[in-house]
Amino acid sequence: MRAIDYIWLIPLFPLVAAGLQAFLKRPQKRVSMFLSIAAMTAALVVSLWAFKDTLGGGHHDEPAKPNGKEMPAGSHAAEVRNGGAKLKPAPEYEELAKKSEHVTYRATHNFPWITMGAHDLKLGFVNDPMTAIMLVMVTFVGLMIFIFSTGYMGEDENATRFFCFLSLFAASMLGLVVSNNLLMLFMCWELVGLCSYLLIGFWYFKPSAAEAMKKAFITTRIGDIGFFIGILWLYAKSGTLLFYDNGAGILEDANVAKLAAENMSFFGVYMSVSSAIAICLFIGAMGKSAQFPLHVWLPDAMEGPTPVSALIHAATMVAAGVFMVGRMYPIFDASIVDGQLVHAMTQAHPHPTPALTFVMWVGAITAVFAATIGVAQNDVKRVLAYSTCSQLGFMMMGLGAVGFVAGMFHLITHAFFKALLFLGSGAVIHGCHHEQDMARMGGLKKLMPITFVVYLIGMLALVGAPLTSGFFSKDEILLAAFHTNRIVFAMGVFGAFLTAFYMTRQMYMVFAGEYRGGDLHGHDAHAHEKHGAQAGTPVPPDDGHGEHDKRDDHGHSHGGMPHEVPKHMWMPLAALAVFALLLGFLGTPFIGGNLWHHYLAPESAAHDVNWMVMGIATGAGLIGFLLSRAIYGKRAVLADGSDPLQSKLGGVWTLLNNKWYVDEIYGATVVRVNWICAALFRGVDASIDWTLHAISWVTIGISSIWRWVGDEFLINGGVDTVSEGVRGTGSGFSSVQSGKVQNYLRIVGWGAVGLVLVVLFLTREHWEHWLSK
Amino acid sequence: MESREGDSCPDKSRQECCVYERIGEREGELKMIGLEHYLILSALLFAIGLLGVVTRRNAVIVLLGVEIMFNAANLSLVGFWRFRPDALAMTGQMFTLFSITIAAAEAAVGLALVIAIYRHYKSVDVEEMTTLKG
Repeated sequence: MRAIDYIWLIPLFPLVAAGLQAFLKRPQKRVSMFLSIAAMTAALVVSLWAFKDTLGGGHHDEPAKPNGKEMPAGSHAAEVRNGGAKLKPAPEYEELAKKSEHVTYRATHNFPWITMGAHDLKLGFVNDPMTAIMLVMVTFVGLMIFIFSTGYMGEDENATRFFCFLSLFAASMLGLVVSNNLLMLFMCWELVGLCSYLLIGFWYFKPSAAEAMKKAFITTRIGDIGFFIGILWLYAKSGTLLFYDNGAGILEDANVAKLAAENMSFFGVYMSVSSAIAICLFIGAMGKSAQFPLHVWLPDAMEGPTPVSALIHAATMVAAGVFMVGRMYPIFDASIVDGQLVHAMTQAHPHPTPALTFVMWVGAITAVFAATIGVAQNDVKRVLAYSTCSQLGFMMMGLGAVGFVAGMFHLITHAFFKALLFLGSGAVIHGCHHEQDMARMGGLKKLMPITFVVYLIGMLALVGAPLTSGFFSKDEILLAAFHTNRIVFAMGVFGAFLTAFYMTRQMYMVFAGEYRGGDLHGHDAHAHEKHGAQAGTPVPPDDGHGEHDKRDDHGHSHGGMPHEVPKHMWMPLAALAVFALLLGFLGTPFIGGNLWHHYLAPESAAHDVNWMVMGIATGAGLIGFLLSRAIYGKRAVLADGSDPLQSKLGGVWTLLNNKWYVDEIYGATVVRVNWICAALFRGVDASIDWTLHAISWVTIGISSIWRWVGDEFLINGGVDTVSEGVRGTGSGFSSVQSGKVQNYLRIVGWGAVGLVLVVLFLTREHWEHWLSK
Repeated sequence: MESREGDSCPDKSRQECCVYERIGEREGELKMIGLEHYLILSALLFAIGLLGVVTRRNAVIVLLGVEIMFNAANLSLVGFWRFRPDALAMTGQMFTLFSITIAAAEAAVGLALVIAIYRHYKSVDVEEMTTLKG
């Protein structure tokens, strides 16, 4: 029994849960929570089964079967990666293949969805290491976040709807991960976008949340234009959208070679069609994974509840872009060398294709750009949001620098520690009674010890402190960048420095020192407003401030001081922390020869351990930590509430605090153009309206003229005249009947006279002879 | 009357002219009252009666006119009988007698109707009786 045959259950469980939850009533919160958690647990179980299936690896010599269903029972059958390729693999590949006997496991289950004549549109499910690890990650992290949400959102009156959307999101994300067809991936892609929209604007009655939800959806949609063009182009070239289909799939060598062989000029750059298509697809990933310049929606997405930020905007949805690039990697890294298909990742000295170069640069720019902004933010969630953006940049940078394994590894580890950090911030916010401004926090180390510990673990992992998971994954990425492009490597190091800087800053502002915020006497939520706007630090809206007023008091009897969160909220944090620490050991070269690499892509070239790179990366992190400690260690916030760095950097600080004014630039350009077009079309619409009214007025005029002339005058008049004539004639004739007998008799008399005369006339020959007498 | 053949009768086969000649056309004889005198009188009487019926306003006078028309008809009946070649026994007179009787009955009925009408209209002026006007 193979997991691939039941893998469709994984997205189905949460989907069914969402369907049921849609019919629940608002007070049935516990039922809703139960459904979500039960569905996610079931999905986790099946995911673990799928994961177990992939652990065995594939077999080199297994002949490819026509469709996945005819595999002999009980065997871990898989298609050979090069199944059906007519091209001879490159020499280096052969060498590597000999080195590792393992080929990755891949099982597919394709089925026809729509039959159009002789041609089928097929969908399918795939189970391979990338899918399996994503499944386990999404279900596990999702489950932790769901459990956390029961505490965090437990008192929100719309909790039922929240869990319904969460389940729907989980179903879509899992569907995206298991799909074997680019179209199905795209459908799930759009669905996760929809769920993101719904969940960001969960408190839709807040205007800022309503704006943010629209911004997120529209910005990702703009990216999806490129994605869709890529899909159409790929379909036109390949005739199918299945990834793996016994040699006929779009990611398999036959098709990829065909795409890579053809060259074209794409926006002035001469490259292969495969790279051009890859760039189009990447534009979608830029939108979804918040790469520069389509990153603008991610910070605003923090308007949503913190579990949403943790799940969607840290661990999973934004990772979907990275996952998609990873999934489509055979197209990204394909090129034709000496008439043979070569995948860059299999090369010992990789040379990135134009598509990969583009990905790498976009990733590097994003990594640095977002990190610089993160330094100057005061909202605890905003810092994490920009951190996510920056880390996604790192992942893209890794993938682009032909570090497929590195990028995917960072994706997995990042999911765990970023979710941990977000949930930790959720705990902090919850504990501080929905205060989000770091300037008003502090001293939470003593007040919320468990949260502090897990948050610290998350922070260390993010920064890349030695031996944490983040250390290994980030190190792999920087290693890949080092071997590909030194400038990108430098940018990556700078990004690591900034990451350490702002995370340390955050730790000091939130946990160290004394508690600065709230009102110590009483639960006065409105005291926040009185602090007023400080120079350069916009007061962030409270996480659900409007909602807060509606909620019943959670019975804090200890004044306004922050407190530790309950057990069912810090337990998930602890679980995530464990993984944040230990997951790294899967990808380290020191243990078992890099298990992760072995598992995910054994045919890709592994770089040897480079102590210099490791040293530089760690050094950058350390410098960032020390610098931040120097600035923020003594006093995280100055007496007037402003940031100590602000005075040092001055104008630069304002620039960073205002996000490099990107939103304002967009507002002045793109949005303004949109407004002008809208006004223009409104004018067109009005003139169409006017024309319609004029036409209708003319029609009414003509019809009323016709009514007057034709109907009234001719028809009515004619009929009336005729009938009047008849009546007149009739009455004229009836006047003969005067009722006077004498008149009748007179007429009879005249008639008789006439008759006699007529008779005489007619018989005149009989009496005419008498006249002569 | 004996039948005589005269010269003034061009066509002997026609009985009427022979009769005519017989009666009024002896030589040297003054013309006696011929049929035409009766007929003209009858016509005159009829016309007078008709005039009365048509013209007069009083219903009783209208009935009088009707009687006169009746008598005119009777007169013409008698005249035609008198100048027949073989005057049958009393045919005309008998006919006339019946006619007079019926006229009398009719006059009685008519006058009864006039009385009934008078009761309704309170007048015998035929000009006022226009209920059947259409």
